[in-house]
Amino acid sequence: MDNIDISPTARTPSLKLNLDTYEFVLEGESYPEDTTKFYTQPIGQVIAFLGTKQDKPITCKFKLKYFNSSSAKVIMDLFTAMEESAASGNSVKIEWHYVADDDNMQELGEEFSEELSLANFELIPV
Amino acid sequence: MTLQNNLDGKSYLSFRRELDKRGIVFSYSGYLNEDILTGIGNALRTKLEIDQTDQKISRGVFSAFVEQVQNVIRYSAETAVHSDIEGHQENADDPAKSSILPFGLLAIGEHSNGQHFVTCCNMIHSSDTAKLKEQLESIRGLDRKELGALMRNQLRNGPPEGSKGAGVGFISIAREANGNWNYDIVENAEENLDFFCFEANF
Repeated sequence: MDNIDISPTARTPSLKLNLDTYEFVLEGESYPEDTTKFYTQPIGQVIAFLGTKQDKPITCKFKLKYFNSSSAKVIMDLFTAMEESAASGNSVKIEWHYVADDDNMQELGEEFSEELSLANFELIPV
Repeated sequence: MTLQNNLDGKSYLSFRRELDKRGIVFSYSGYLNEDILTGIGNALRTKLEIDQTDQKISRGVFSAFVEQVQNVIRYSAETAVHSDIEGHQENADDPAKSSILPFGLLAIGEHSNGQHFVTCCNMIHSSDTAKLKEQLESIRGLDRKELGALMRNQLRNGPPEGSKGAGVGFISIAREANGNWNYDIVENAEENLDFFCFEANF
């Protein structure tokens, strides 16, 4: 497995998976022209990483400014995979970064976190 | 020298004034693709910044714009296609260059009461009307929290049959508009086609 380092565009986020630091970061805007085409390959790799026993804690950082409803499906799939990863014995921490006055993004983070019981979740206003 | 075309500037000005009267700031009627979404979206964000629109309202307006235009692109029953392209396939590699162009109408502006609106209209097959009505009526009256729970439930269980996205577009708009949305359907606008309009308010 290789590191993932996808640069952001106006409509797609930066997507990174660092296999040295065990860190996954999704940052920026997410309303791709074609959500499946953008996400399928890298998210498949991230889900495979989460599904493997890791000897160090995994950190997943969401730093999204805006995402559309098709991207919400990808985030839900990631949260499911992160919870399953924690259930299988990995240490998984999720950070949900949002602009401090963005109540909507805060709420979305809170709502997605209801999918979790074993993975750690932290809301981080910036 | 004879004037070939009788261009009537006054008629265009009155057309423009009519849009102004309705509070419409952005309007587009025609064939849409993802590049148009990107372009109008950028201009819309800039205009909201120039107007120093409240951040919460701006985010809601932009979000409703993206969801609604993507709905038109995916579901408009009125499309232009190259007659020489076999099977009229969508361009799988690049939807921006899809050979199918859906027709839709977009209007964004402010009502006289100061409320912002995002409205999209497109033709739908009359045979799909009952299903769409049922889908929208099922979320009417739901509050933000209920819509959020429904959205997560839908995302977890996968898209409903016939959906080209996550199947949560309208739920997501309704949630963000705090339940302030409406729709209207004009039946038999064309043969076998109904005219569907959806508006979200912020």
